[in-house]
Amino acid sequence: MSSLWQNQPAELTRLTPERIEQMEKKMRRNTYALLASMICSAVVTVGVAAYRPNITLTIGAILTVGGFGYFVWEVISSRRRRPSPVDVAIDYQRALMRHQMEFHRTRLWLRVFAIAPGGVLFFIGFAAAMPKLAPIIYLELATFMIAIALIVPLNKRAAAKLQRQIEELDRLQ
Amino acid sequence: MPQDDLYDQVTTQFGAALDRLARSYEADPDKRRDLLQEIHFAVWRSLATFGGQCSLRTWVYRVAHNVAASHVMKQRRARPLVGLDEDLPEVEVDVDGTIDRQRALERLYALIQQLQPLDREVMLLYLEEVDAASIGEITGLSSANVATKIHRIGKLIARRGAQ
Repeated sequence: MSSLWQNQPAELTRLTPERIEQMEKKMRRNTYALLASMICSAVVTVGVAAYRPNITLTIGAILTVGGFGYFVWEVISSRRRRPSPVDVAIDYQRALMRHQMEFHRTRLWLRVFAIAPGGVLFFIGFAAAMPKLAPIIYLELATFMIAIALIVPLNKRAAAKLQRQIEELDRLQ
Repeated sequence: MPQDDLYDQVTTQFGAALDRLARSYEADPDKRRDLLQEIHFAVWRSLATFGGQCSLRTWVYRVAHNVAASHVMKQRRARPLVGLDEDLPEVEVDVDGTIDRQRALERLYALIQQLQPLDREVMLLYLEEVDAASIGEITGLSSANVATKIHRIGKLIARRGAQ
């Protein structure tokens, strides 16, 4: 079986320096893409608030932009703490799961409070500024609140699943 | 030794094994090519910190398997992956001439791709004829667990009429 395995035709790859440089740029691009999407969302939010200004909408927009900023900071700092692949496999997989678990378990309420108040005020202010669109905006507000309400239970569920997988790995060492 | 020289050594000595590894973790040809490049990139980056803490082979296999395992963990799967001690769906692996070698390999890949990352890793290292002590050094599994898993792999292959 091993000889069948080792004697199969193989495609030999060697990364050129140019390809390595491209891949390094791609890594940095992922962070820039996240920042760009955050900036676009912030521009749209501020744009809406500037188009039909009222106090609720303005406060909602400011809080929402702050919430976006906090969320992006969390994602970027979590990416920076990713484990290194030079560890032995079992330690690496455990570290990877712990890293994911940490994201799903810590600062959950902070995430909710960073996003929820600004979002709610923004939608209410937006509905007041655009009465004709109010039914659609309130529907969006309801969807937003359901999504917010699910943040904590879904994250806790994901963290519990990862905890079980970590315990399974611990038994193998 | 400089990073690029080490990388040359890696591609010469382990290029084929890395290709087989990528095939074992990703069935889709386009995604497999991307995974293989990702593995090479991670190996190249890691070589900057390689200082002979272990053999080059152990180092390369560790990085390559870890990158591939992360790839598997990121995938959403219709069917959950299974362990060596669970009932695997029937995949016949036969190299005694009743089916040709290409089909035997395809079936072997199908079998490997159903396994959880750690079991898959042990099976691949076993097929690469890496000894049990080195498998333990690469995976971090205890020697008893490596021995158990190798025993199960042997039985699994034998049960499918592959030896």
